[in-house]
Amino acid sequence: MKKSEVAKLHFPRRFSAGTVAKKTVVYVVLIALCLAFIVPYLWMIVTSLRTEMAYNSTGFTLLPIDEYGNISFHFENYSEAFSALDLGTVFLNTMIVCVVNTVANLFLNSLAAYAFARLKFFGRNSVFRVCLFSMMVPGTVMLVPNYLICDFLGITDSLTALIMPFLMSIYNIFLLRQQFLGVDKEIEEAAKIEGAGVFRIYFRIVLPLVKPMLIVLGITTFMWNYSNYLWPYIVNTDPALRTLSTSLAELMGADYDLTVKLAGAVIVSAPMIIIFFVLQKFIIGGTMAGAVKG
Amino acid sequence: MKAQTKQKLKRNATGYAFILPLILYFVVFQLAPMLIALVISFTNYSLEHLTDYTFVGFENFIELFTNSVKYPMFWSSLKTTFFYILLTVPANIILALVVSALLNSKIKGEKFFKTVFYIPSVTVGVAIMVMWQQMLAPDGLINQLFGTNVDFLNNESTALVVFAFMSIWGGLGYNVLIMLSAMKNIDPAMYEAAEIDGAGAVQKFLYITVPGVMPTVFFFLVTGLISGFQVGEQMLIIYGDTTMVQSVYTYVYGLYYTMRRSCDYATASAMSYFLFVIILIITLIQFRVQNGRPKFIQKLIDRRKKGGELVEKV
Repeated sequence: MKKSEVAKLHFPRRFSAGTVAKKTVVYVVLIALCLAFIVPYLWMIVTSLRTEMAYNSTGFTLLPIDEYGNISFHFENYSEAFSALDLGTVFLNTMIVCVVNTVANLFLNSLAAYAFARLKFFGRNSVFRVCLFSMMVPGTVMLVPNYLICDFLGITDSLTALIMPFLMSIYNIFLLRQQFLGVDKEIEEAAKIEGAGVFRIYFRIVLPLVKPMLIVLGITTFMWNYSNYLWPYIVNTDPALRTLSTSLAELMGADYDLTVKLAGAVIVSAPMIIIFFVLQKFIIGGTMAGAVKG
Repeated sequence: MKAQTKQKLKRNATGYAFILPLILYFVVFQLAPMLIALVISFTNYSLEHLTDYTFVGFENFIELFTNSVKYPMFWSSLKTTFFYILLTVPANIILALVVSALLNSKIKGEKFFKTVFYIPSVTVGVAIMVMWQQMLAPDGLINQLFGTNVDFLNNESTALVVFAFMSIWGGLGYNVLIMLSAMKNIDPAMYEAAEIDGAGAVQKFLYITVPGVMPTVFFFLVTGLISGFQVGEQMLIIYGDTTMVQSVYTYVYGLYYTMRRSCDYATASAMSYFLFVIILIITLIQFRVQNGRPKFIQKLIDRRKKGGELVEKV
């Protein structure tokens, strides 16, 4: 046995000086990287609480100090951002779109996914394959075609235009179908013997069994609709129909102090970040589920 | 016999009742839009010709590809998109590999780091752009930190690099999440065997970790290419639908310009289809490579098993 191996046997690795040094390097690198994420957010929040004059008269700081070096909070940036965003209307618009799309998605997607997973009917696999093929068309490619159809249907410049094209998601049907395939068939057969109808079995028995996946898809659908910028920007021009994202983009391009713009960004992004911290388990789970297909 | 047909009919009816919403949705918001756009890409349908449009054959496509007076940015926008992909895709993969390996080295606070890196993924895209726009301004955080005075977003030589950086920064959390779970699937026996052979951390990373997560690297490569070709939303948010900074004029940014500024729906449709063809080719190549994958993976598994057996023997 070599000398170094004997040493290893007597001194477990975690006590050796080399390992400690290595670990320290790992921590230093990771913490430095962490700062690259935390500092921008901290800077945004702090700057949104200062005045433009204080901002211009000091260098880099992560403290809400005024031009004389005293700590002071300026919440008036937030009330200004509030009215600049037209937050009442815009928030209501966003919530209508998010809630309708999330509820519709969960119900309609699971309905179709259940049929593809369990019901036997003529042409089931062909229909499913055609749908899968359409998943290859990316969202950016669909933008112009979707605008044309909404124009054709006469629903541009309305909240309907933000809802109808996103009522369902083929991708989520695909994910839900996988879940349904994993459900034990015996439960359904037992219910069938008891005389339960197909819809009843789906809604009362199978759907509750895939609740974790429904929660994951509900959150991701809600978040996607909440953040979506491109589509509302393309299809709606009426200021009364703006959503949080398009309204913030409008504020960003307008002539306001940077403190007010940052306050607007905090207002718009805070709800999603808070939801993330509360429901982290599900959101991370959703990301993993989405990556499985790779 | 008759009862059987009746039952079959009922089964079919139930099945189609369940997928009726999907069929309606699919026809109206997937199939019809694509067909309409296809037809329109062969017409001169635009704001000036909303009612009196005519068929022009392949003229829109030919004009896009050859008329450098009418579409001066077409080829350069493709080049810009390529540059952006070159800047982001390799960097994304390398960073995800390195950071995941660091997180996988039995350290404390793995969950904390993962959470912090993931915050941009759940921040509204426009809010992130507001934040970076202010940080990258001449009097912003970045210039304050480095004592410089560069207008990063309005400088031809820095703008695209800055967009690539923002995208790498924003995507790290997601990439690490995927990469790390792939790394955790690697058989620990492999590492033990390597340790017995006296391999260091770098060697283990290069000869076990990287080959072990090759399928994930391939996944990042394909998704990176596909999303890279669609880049343009960030530019749209920062500059609006027209910009003086030519180095950030990507293909999709040009698509938005044609759509919203020029209201040239026919050309925008043609551009959408051209983009679709590019992405379709990438996807088909992916299928080709993936169909040849099981053999490659089988080899890796066999090799790993051998490593395991060796460990048992020792």
